[in-house]
Amino acid sequence: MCDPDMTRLAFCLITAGGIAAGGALSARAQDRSFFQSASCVECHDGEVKKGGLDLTVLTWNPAEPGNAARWEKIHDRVAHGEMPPPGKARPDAAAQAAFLSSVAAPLHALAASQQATRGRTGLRRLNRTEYENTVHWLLGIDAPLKQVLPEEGSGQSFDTVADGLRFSQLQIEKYLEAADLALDAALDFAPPAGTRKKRFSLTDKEDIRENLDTPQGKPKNNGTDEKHQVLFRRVKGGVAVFTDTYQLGLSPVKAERTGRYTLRVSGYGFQSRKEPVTLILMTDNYQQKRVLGTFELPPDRPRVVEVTTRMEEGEFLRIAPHDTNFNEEGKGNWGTDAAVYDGVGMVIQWVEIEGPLSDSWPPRSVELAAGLVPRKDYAPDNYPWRAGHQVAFDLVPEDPTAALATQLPVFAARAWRRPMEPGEASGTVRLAQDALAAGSSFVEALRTGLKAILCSPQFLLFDEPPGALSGPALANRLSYFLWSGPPDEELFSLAREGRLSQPDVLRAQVQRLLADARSRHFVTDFAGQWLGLRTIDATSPDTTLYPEFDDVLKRSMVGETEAFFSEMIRANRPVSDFIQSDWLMLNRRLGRHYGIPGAKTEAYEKVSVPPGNPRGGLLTQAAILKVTANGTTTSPVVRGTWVMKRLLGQPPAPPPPVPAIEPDTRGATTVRELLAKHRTSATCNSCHRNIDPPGFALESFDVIGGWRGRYRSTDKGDSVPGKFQGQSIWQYKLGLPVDPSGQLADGRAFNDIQSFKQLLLTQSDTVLRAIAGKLLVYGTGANLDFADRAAVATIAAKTQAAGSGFHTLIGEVVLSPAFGRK
Amino acid sequence: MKRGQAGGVNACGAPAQSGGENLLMPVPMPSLARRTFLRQTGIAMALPLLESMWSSRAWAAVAEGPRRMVSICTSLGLHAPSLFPVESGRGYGSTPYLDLLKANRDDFTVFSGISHPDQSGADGHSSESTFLTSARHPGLGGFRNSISVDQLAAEKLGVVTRFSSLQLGTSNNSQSYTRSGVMIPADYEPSKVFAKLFLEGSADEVKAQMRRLHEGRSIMDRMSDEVKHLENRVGQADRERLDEYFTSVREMEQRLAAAEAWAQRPKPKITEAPPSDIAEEKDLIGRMKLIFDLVPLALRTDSTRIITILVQGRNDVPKVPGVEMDHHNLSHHGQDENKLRQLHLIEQAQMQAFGGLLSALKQQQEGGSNLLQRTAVLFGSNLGNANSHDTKNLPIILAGGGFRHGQHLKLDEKNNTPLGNLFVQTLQRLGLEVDAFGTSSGASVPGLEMA
Repeated sequence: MCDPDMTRLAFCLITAGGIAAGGALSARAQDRSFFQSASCVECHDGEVKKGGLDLTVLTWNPAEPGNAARWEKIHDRVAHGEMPPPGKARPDAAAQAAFLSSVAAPLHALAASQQATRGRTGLRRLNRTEYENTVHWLLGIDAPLKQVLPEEGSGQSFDTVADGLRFSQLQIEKYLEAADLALDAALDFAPPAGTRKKRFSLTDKEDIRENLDTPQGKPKNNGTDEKHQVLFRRVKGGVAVFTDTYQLGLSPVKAERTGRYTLRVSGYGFQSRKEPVTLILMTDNYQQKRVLGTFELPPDRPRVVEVTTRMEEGEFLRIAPHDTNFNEEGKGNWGTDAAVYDGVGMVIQWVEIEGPLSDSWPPRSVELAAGLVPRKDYAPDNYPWRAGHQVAFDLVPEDPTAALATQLPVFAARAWRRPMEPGEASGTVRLAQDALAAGSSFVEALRTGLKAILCSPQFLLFDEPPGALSGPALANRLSYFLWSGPPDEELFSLAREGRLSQPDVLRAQVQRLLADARSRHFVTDFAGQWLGLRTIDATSPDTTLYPEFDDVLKRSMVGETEAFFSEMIRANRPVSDFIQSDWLMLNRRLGRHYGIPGAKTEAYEKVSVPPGNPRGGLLTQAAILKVTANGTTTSPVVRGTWVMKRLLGQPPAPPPPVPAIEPDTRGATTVRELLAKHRTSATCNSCHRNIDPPGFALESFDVIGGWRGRYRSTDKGDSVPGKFQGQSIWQYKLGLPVDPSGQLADGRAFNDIQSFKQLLLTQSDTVLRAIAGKLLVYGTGANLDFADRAAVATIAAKTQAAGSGFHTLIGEVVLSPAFGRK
Repeated sequence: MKRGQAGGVNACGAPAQSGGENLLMPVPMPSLARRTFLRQTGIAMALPLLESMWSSRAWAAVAEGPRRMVSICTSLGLHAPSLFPVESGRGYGSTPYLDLLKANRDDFTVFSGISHPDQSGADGHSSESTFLTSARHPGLGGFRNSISVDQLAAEKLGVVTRFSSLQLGTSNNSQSYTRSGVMIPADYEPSKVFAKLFLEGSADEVKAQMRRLHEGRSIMDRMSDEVKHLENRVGQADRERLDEYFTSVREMEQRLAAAEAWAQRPKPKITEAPPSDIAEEKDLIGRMKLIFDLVPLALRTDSTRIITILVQGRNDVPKVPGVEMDHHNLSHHGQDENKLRQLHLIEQAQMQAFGGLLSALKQQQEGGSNLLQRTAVLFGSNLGNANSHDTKNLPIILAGGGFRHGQHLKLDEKNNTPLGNLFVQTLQRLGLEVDAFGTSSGASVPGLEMA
């Protein structure tokens, strides 16, 4: 399979690179040997071998990846001032600088020469999100496909990195399965459904009527002494509800067929003491519930809320009142007739379903899949059945063999997202024609061809030969970076005209793509992985310690961080706002959680942080504080690691094999006392003096991102003042006080999170470079090597020169040579 | 087992495999060639073999009865003080958890002081993905998982059964990983597993399935050619990834061919009724038991010889009387007595379900033996102490499988024995010629002997 000449050429180039690098460094060998002979070997010799490093036998052979990694680590620890450790003799600054450059220069040269021959990015396939978005675009469908495909391995920082995107027999099996699902959805020959709009009142549902019309306390006569509980109240123009009950599964508000529907609910807060109440909308199919959104209904004034969503056949609407069902004494509806209950509730006036919504019939997907093929319509009273469904028409080309030869190359050209080589699709056409000859119908044969295209390497793999990216390759890289999906016609035509790589054109396209709605994928996929938001569900907070936590808060947390990230782009805010900002994007629920008023509804609004309030920036956002906690306790180590890895771009080494501290919520000790060893043991301290301080500052925030001056305890402590939903708080106690003070590794001290953030702001450059690096990794699908350090530094410098805006930074990443080459 | 039994080693015709004609060798084969042959078939995991392909020695192994392996992991740990006895050896005093297995005391060994090394990972639960692989530092920088012990066994033992292995669980996550480190998703609906194992489709369904399998093969065949187009567009350094695609396609083609062959054979007939799934996800114990019920059925009909089960603890309140808080949270008990009490209730229910499985396997006679004696059943967790996410000192029980049991093997609590050593010993007992697996440091655990 390999071309022997190619192999030889590549080998020569690599060897030549090695020799060139070797020549440059032998002149400076004494700088490296300096460190091998000086203070370092005291600990890093064959006997002590601190950190598993024996400098007396370490050779210089960076062409071997393991050896290069070793030297890179030594370089970084010296450069960061971590080695030699405090208290040990250090060489003077000049000797240190000479050493660093003697290592850095050849490591850079070697990596650069490898990039020149092989390119930075390895052959990379679509990940499951990109696959789904691409197939949706190709076929004009919205059927979920992603969950059929195996999850990408978790070893990479982003699921766009080529090293993590592998093939296996299983992967191929799932592509076949996903293609079947996609083609089933696309080749939809069903009769026209007709969009219908239906409006319901809650009293249209029999079990609700029955509940309303049965007197409170009437014995149930079911062999128990249970009595009837009235849960609803008729009010003018609607029905008041207080509690989440099974009757609110509104089975008549149902999707008769799979498709897109608009759901509307009109309602208002009832007896809610001038406060809004929260309505949750879900779909349900008796097995699985899917939350569509949460909405704030204003007090006493009706609001119509609306959501448009895909619903599977048989799914129906479920509504749930939230943060209701308590009165001044904290008593719920249960035990009191709803007709006289005085607690917080909501009135539902009406519920409406409209759908299935469609632009045309037959659906556009039929033409996208099959091309313009004559249709044979069946008589409506005589629709035939196929695989359990009625069909209204069939596709009957005059010459099926020719129709396959026309349509399959058209579809392949779109699927492969680049100009085709002559005859490249002919094999696929033959495959389909063979199926036809063997007795398959036209549609079956077409399906076989389409399925083959959806499993083909040209579809699954990015087309990036070594060197500068071609126009189409650049268009692909750009759109998958900012949309997680394929380029649109504008990008393709710029690529065809050869204009896309012009800096002003590229800059304008970045602007356009980021302003497009599809850039929501950039927010969820990049920010979701960079900040770890995808793990928001990994733990649920202890209901005893955190009774105020609920699903609405959890959803608001992720929404806040995504809205903050989007606003950073939209307003081109300086990157240092990620560390500390005087504004936030809050909805009403989070405003309550943070004690910052302003936002009135479920939508996120830009709100100023009041003076003295500790919020602002990413670190103090509830989502970040939740994903770095375990639901019961917080650990400064986990949060400190998050700050180092995600914000500063300096991931700590994996911890040694010692058990983590054992959480204890009984209120007798604090986590700082448990971590004392990190300070007293020199071995622990060498890493933990960097890791722990950010975590200490964040101790002022609990596992759900609430501010705390004292730890919550299940055993020892004082009772909690104040009330929750009308009741005094009995679930937990206030335990030992929090100590958020600390000292950075460089000796600068902080008292609390505010002063910590001020210190961190002096490292804005480091944060900017770290984020630039992460964008480059995500956007190009390649991890950073030594040569990329210079590329990242250039991106950061250009961004700084233009005011350090986040939008600017994204543009500079796209304009960098690293982005424009394989 | 009975020769010719449906679903087992079977004499009906399998089609010649494309690219695999050399596999159809005349019998008897010398044992060395058989080894080579088994290694080759490693790439074609689900190939059904013909009786005529087996050497006399292979037949001797079959006459003795097939050997099998089942692994079960409960991902939120087991509270160590309630599980591990104080004393080591056969005379150990029982513990609250082991009490629940006392009917089978002589059929299992409980190990303490055993774990995979270097399991600190991306988060506190990353070691869930490496319980059966032992790859170091799961999820941290550049991590790539390696093949799991069950898949290694399936490469050798899975070639004669309808399913080379089964992945079952309470969610679609499993602990089985392919050679390229990809997770094989688990089946979590027992009714579907039952249907896949034992229920014949209607004539139309079988026809549609045959059509799909055949179509799949023709597409795979086409893709092998398609790769050649691309070779010119791809740089030398990227050929490896393209080869990976090519190999995956070829394996898929072989798998489809095997599936076509199996699709033409009747499935084993059993008298048990199909199970009804439990839709309620928080009924962890009920769902776990339904999955356990499938194990004796799948093994006794020789539908597979390898099963992995992941019981994934959840962030909700499991349906266990007396439990009011969510399971994950209870595992982070913080020494709170109320939480520990509830955690014990969940874990006791799990131990009971495991005890039920052991008894069911033991009751099933096979030849002069029983299923349990021929099935190594590993039960444990990837967390030694879930409260602190500690991955040392894992709770590990090995039952059956032809070992001398009835003891507590107390190994060094500070300096743990690699769990890989136990895997190697188990693989060897299954007849595999391996002397290392993952991070193993030896081929056996001292004190564990063959029965």
